[in-house]
Amino acid sequence: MTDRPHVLIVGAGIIGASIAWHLARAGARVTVLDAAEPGGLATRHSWAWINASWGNPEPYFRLRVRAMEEWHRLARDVPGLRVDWPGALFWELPPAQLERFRAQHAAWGYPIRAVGRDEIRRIEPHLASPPEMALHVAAEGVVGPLAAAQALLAAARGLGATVQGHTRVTSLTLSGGRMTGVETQNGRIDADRVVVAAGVGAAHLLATAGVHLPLLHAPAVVVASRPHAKRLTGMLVPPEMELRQTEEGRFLAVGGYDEADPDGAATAATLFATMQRMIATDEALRLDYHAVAYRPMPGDKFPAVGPAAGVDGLYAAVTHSGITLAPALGRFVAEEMLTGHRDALLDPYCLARFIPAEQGRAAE
Amino acid sequence: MTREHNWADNYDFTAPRLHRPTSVEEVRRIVAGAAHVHAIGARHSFNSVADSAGDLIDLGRVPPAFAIDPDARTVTAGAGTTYGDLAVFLHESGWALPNTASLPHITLAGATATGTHGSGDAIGTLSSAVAALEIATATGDLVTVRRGEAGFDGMVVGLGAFGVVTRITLDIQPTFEMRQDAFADLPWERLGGDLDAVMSAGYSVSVMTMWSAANATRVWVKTRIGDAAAAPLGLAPSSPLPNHMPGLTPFGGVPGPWPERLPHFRPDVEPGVVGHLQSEYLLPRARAPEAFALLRSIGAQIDPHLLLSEIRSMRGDTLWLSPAFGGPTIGLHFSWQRHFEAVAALTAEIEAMLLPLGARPHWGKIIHTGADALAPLYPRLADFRALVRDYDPVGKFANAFLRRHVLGG
Repeated sequence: MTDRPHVLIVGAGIIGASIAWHLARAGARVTVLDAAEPGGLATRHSWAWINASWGNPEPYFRLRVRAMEEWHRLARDVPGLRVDWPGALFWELPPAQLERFRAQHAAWGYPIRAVGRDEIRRIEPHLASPPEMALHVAAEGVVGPLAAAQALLAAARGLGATVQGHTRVTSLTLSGGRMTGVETQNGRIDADRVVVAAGVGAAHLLATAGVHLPLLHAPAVVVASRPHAKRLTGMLVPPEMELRQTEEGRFLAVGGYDEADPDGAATAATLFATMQRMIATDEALRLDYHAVAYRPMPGDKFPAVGPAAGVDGLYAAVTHSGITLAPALGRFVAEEMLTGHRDALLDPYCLARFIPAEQGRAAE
Repeated sequence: MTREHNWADNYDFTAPRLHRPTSVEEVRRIVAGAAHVHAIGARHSFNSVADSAGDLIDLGRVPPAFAIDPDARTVTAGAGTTYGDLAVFLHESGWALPNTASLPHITLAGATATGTHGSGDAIGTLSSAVAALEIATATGDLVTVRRGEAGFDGMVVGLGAFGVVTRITLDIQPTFEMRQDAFADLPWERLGGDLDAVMSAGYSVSVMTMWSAANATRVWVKTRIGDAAAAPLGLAPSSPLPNHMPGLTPFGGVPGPWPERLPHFRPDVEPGVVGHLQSEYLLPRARAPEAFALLRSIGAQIDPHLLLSEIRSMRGDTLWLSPAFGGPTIGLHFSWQRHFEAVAALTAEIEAMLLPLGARPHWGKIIHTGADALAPLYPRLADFRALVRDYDPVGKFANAFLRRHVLGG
């Protein structure tokens, strides 16, 4: 058994969980550490939309489409993992821009179409004032983000992985340019291969090994109602927010963060009032909670996935849109770590792109 | 891509790339990396069912890797294997398929994915002999589905919508010898009035005919040596056809191995009239006499453009998009001359005439009707579409044919 590669994953959010399951399924020995309860920080508050929309360059679109396909595969392969495909409606842009968006994605083969008010009413009968037109993608989906991460972790455990919460990794340790393990609040853990999937905590941790990963400060405000009778079918993207109704009936919205409102309370109140106006209900919605979600977002907003240059055995997987991308990234990361083969869809997302130009030259 | 066309040369594939992989691993990599992809078989379809907006995969160079399971009575082979090659291998190994189509040149995957069939009251479509499928799905992963498992009945007649089928497992039986005999001039009244007696005259019976004469031209009866003799038809023995047709398997009652009797044509010869056009309509057996009468009423319009029609029977099956879904089925096949405009008009007229009788157009032949009008003919179509959405959420395998005739939207 000892000749099986041992991989330590820092971070038990959706990305770490997916990497863990894919590695364990491929026969690796896997340990997952998380600073808090396994399930992740950004993952927990994700709006959890699985999509390949929009405003992306084609290579990123292709990666996201692949990830949508991979979610269907995972749903077949991972016990207890539930993924729903209720579709998404969006009208967050002026009609001319929506049409440009539609035409481009349709040309790429994406099943996207323009729908008028009557059809919007058929898709979402309880919208108080449906827009004149919107775009609809029936193939887009959603997961319960925490439940999905937990299902992947449970399945990984079933394949022999160790998942340990409440173990904060304080630094990476290396010797002679090779990973030797991690320091945690509870002491040192040896490992010669480490994956940093620690979301917003990744930059700090990678820096302890001299690896530079710029992350943007990209919070969002999440607001949720108490569970309510079923009113919404799918994912809604009006101009004001992103809105859906969760499996247990909560209306869940995400909106922009305002630096002047650091705890998000005022923003949440506005979002909640908008939400209430948008949904035709017999009874008023009741606010349950709000939160400021800190989302991992590499400096150019695209995924940072790959081996860290200059440190043998260190790998990073940090991205926005973790819910959409998790099944594809988990698969590709496991494959690259175990076989050295890097899927071509990951080509644009290596960490080396963040090395400042002068250091890059010095390293050559 | 250089011009790639189908066998009949009535369709040019539009896909910019054609791959000829030599292993299943290579198929998986191509499928995983493609934005749009479809498998192409022997190019014997008469429409765009096998086309793709991106990549085509021809499995002809993947080794067949035959594997017989004598206990399960199945054979597994590469999906791009032809029925002709499989038949020779099986016969030499002491086994036989339940049936073949008239041509042995077609591939296992192409034939079974389109509900292609031979004839025989007690035998199902070629698709109904499928016991398991291995499919390279959108992510490049191989999925194996076996008879009895969820989704299997939807995926067999799959039209390529679930991915690229890489290996197929088929039911087999101990090998046998057969004879085939041709008889002339079956009166239409007898065919319409006593279809059961005619179609049960052998293991596999075909009626070859034009539509305007008083008699059907020929009856071909294929009999397994050793089976109990059916009641004789009382017709005069005859040459297989009024005119010589090159490439036919031997007639005249001479016993021979099943691969040289069950298909109409020999595997080493391309069939007689190259490049003719084909359409076919499969309808519930009980409605066949009405269909005969309708077609005979326009027989004088049909015959000047027709080479020959063939009437075949098959057992019903449970495959969602099978032309024989639900019960005993009669196939009315038309081999047309290359009169493109007249054939387009006639096939549209015949389709409109027969659909109200419950007729389903063959997925691999000329077909006009769109998905909305075909939907009532396939009670499990909604389930099929849902299953496609699961295996191919974004439409990697959904070509223009599938959208127009099956998936809608």
